[in-house]
Amino acid sequence: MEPMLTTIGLTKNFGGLTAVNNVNFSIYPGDAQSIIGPNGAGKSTFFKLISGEIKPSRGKIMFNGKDITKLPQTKVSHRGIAVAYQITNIFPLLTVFENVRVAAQSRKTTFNFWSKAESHSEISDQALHILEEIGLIQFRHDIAANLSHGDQKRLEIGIALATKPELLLLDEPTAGLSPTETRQTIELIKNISEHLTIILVEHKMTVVMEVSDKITVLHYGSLLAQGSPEDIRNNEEVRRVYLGGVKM
Amino acid sequence: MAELQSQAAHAATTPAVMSPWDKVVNLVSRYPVAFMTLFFILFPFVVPYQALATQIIIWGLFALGYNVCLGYTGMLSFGHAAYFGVGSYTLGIVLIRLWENVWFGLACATFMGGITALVLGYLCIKRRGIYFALLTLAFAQLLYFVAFQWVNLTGGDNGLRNIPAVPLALPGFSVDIHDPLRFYFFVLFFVVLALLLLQRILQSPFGRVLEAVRENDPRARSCGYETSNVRWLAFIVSGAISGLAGGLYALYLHFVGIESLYWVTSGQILMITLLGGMGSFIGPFIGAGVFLFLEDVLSAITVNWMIFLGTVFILCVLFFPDGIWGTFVKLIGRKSALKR
Amino acid sequence: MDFNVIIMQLFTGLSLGMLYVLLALGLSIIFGLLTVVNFAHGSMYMWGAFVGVFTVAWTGNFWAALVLAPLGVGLYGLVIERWLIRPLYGRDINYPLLLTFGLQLIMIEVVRIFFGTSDHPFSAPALLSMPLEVMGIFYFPAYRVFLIVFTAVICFVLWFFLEKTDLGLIIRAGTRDPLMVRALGIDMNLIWWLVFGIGSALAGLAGILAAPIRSVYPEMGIAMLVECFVVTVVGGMGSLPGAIVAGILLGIVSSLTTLVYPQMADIVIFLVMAVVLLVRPSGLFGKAGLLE
Repeated sequence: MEPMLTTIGLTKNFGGLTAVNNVNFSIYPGDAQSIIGPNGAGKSTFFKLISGEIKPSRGKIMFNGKDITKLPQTKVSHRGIAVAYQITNIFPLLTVFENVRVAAQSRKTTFNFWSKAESHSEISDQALHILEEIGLIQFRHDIAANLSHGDQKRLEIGIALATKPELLLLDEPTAGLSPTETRQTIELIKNISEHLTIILVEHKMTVVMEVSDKITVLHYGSLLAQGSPEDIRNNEEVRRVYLGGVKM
Repeated sequence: MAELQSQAAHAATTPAVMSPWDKVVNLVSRYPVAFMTLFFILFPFVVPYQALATQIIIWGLFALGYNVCLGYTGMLSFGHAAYFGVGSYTLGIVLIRLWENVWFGLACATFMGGITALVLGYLCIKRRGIYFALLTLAFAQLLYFVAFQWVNLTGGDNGLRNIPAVPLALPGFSVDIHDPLRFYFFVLFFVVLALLLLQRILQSPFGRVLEAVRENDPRARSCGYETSNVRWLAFIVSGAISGLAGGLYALYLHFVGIESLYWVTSGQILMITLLGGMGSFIGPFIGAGVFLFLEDVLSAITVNWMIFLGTVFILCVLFFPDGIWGTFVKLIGRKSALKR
Repeated sequence: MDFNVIIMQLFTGLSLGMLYVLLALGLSIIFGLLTVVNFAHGSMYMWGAFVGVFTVAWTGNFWAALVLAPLGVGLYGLVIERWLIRPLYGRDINYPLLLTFGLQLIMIEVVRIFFGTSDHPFSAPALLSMPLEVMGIFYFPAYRVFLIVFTAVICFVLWFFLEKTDLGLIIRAGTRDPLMVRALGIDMNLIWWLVFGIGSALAGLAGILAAPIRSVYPEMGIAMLVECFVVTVVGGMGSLPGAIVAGILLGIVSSLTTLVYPQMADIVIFLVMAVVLLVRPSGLFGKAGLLE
């Protein structure tokens, strides 16, 4: 099987700082893969590179066999990569429903001036379906800014899902969530991973261990180790630099 | 369970028992165009003189176009005099030199307003926020100086005079729109047309993208929308409506003054929109009404009426950033929230 | 065309450019630190000139006016920042812009009430009214020479203040990261207040310096304000070297155009701006993405 996404020697320098250093990474269709590493390991930069938000200094990104390194963010989105951001990045004054609906609409139409937005029932149905999936259907008429932090984070995922991605990038989806909310989000991610390929950046090891098929460890922008949760748990080097030698 | 919660959530937004007042507010907010049309039909009979009513709806139309930029897409333009002025000059020049047909003149004014916005917009859209405001201002000033120098075409400092008072050609007969009341309804026709058109656009998928861009441009981009094209197009629509308003104003005055292109006009439309309240259909017209009424009353008292206008504007920025209509809507909202 | 005339025009352009520089520096430091676009900047320039008119009428002394204009307008700037602009911090970045726009309407109207709407003749002090002879060929008006030298000195003082003093260091740090500076226990409100005052004083100084070579009337600041916006866009908003280079460049370009094709004189700087935008959207010295 061909990998869905491959990075070859991916490097990003910010001035003198190398945030991502010569990373060779790949993920196969259907996998849920986590990227872990201490703060400043370059995880967020790595996501920004893949999603086209910033351009790499060196290296290549291949998606479904095609080079997407130089594509702008909007094009990458249309190729089928979506991001749910770490810092909640929703449309604050629109309703919860409209947040997801407008994202879903991006796959169909932008410059349509005449029909009523709600008359595109296919788009609305998809939005409702996603709201059901992320558990926010009962809040669909509410203004998104009024949701709780946990609900906003799930809405964030909903917006990403609405763009019908093949590959979903989740940047710390459980950051700042209560244990109950974290539980809900874990279940949500498990559900999503049944039909989508997922790359997850996460600090909470319980989440990582529970949802990932494979784990990649970044350290100072470089790839340190890659393998199954079991492999990573037993990897000496990972334990030394990342866990400080503590047994997980 | 989810169904129950959904019903509860829905019930919270529409109270079971509505007072007659709430019913009116509800109706107005649901059918703004119908309500406004009704109001504007009665309007010329309640203002001190009909010419003021005509001015108010022309400037209201201009503010409506401006609002597509500021209220619906979140772009602060400081150069809308350009599109208004180009509309005015286009109508004048067409009627004087090309064809004495009001319809054709107004169509050209709208078209040229849009084209100017297309060209200048291409440059301005490259930058966002504050820079966008400064660029729009600078390019509008550029057009002002061009019109100032191009005396053969524009009359320069003296303005474009003697725009013919052409009767309105309709299939089969023609109407003299020289009469103030008839002219008012002629203008109203375009205002309603623009309102319907805008309502349609704002409810369309494109209108929703506009809102998304205003709310969170980077997120809209990451959803795959080419937001700079969306902004550009909104700018063009805004310019076209401003051009139409400019054309109507030239028709109303039979004259185009060089100051129609001056930055003061841009400032005026910004003040009108902010005074009335951004992001609604009614706000711009309320803003235009209050502004022109104040100008009318104050300028009769003192030549230095701008001092009061500036003060009102500063107070508005400091204490009522939502404008008259926006503050009113908020108060209503709070009132009905208390009742629940 | 006569070589002599070109040199003269270059020189005139340089003196116009220096006025741009003074105004654009004020705009730029206020914007760089407070992120406020001061729409009243042009009117402060106009007030500077009128303080000059008033002082000269009172004392007959240009040098007193040269001191009082920046001082008066600077103090006025302090009042404005404290009572009108400070309440707007933390709100949308457009609000201070809107407020100062309203303010300039009032400022223009106030001058109309006290001084009328006509031009006010204002002559350079006797000491500077004769031409300076250079190499027996060029005759430069002494006042313009004074203006150029004086502005250059002001630029140097400002540079020294920002680069070499502790307060300057704080201001520069505040431009990059106000939160961090505040965390170090420095009262940013005080710094902002001071910077707004300095920026206003620079506008007032430009006004009095411009008075003898440009007409003094209530709307004199409007065109100047727009031209200074062009300067800051070309130079890069918030960049001090950008303001200096672009100010001088546009002054000279505008002046030389007057010589070749006078009708284009007002228009050419906008064309320069359009070209710069197409080639380098963030301006000659600007950093991309600053506050967009």
